[in-house]
Amino acid sequence: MQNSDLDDLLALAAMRPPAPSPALMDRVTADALALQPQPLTAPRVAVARPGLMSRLVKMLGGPAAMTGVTSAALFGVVLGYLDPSTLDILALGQAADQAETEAVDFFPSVDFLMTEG
Amino acid sequence: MAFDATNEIPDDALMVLYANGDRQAALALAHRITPRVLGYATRLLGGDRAEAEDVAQETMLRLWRTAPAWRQGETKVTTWAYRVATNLCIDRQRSRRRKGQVALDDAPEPVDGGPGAEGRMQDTQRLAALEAALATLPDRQRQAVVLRHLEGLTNPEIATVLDIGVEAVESLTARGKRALAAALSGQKDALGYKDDRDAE
Repeated sequence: MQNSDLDDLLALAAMRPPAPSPALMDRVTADALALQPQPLTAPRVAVARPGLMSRLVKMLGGPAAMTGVTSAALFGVVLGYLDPSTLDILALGQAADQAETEAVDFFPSVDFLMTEG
Repeated sequence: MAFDATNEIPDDALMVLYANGDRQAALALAHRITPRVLGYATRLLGGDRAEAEDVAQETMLRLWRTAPAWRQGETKVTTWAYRVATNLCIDRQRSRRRKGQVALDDAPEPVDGGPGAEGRMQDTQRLAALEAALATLPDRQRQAVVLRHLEGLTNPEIATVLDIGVEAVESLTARGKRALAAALSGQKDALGYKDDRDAE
C-alpha cells in the first residue's frame, strides 16, 4: 500500500464523520438549555411621573421661557397702572429738553379719592 | 438573535453569549461541537457508537458548566473539547481493559456517513479496514493520527490536546501512519488498491 493510498483513505474518512443521531442532539440541547445561566436583565426602576405644574412649565418651554412670561406679565400690570401720559412719553420719546423741564407724573393722581362730596 | 446569525460568530464568542443566557448561542455551539466530538470519540473507541455518544454528551455537559468561567481568547473551544473527550475515552478504554474486553473484536461495523449506494461499497470496505487498523494502534498514536488526519488539527493544537510537545506529536503521527500502512498492506488486493493502480 502506498503512502498516497493511505492519505486518500484518511481524507475519505475525514469527509465522512459519523453523524450525531437526533436523539443525541436532543439530549445535548436539553442539557445546554437546562444549565444555561439566566439572561442578565437590568432591574426595573419606577420613574416618578412629573406633576401638573412641571408638565405645564415644560409645555411652555421650560424654566427660561417661564421667566420671560412672568416678566412680561408683571410689566403688563405695571403699564396698566401707569398714567396714560407716561405711556406717551415712553412710547413716543418726547424731546429731551421738554422731559427735563416738565415734571412728569408717572403715577395717576389719587386726589379724587380723598375729595369729599 | 436568529440561529443563522450565529454562523459567523467564533466559538469562544458563542461561549460568552451562552453564559449571558443567549439561547441561540446554546443551539449553535451544540450543533458545531457535538459532531466533532462524536466523530473523534467514535474513532478512539473503535467504532463503539453508544459509548461515543455518551462521551460526546458528557463532554458537552462539561462545556456548558465551564461556560460562565470561560476566558475568551485563551483556549480554542474545540481544543478544549477534544482534550476532555480524550480523557473520557481513555477512562472508558481502561474500564474496558479491566473487564477483559478486546476493542477490535467487539468493534461494531463502522458507520458510513453517506448514503448506502452500491457504488460506495468499496469505500465502505476501505473505511471499515481503516477503522480496524486504527483500533490496533497504541492509544497515543491513534489519538494523534485521528486528530491530525481525520479531525484536521494542527500539530501545536494536538500538542495542547494531548499535553505533549510538538515534536512528540510529529513522531506519534509518523509512527501511527507507518503502522496503519503496514496493517492495511495485507489487504490491499481485497480493498482494490492494486486494481486502482493497474487501471492508471
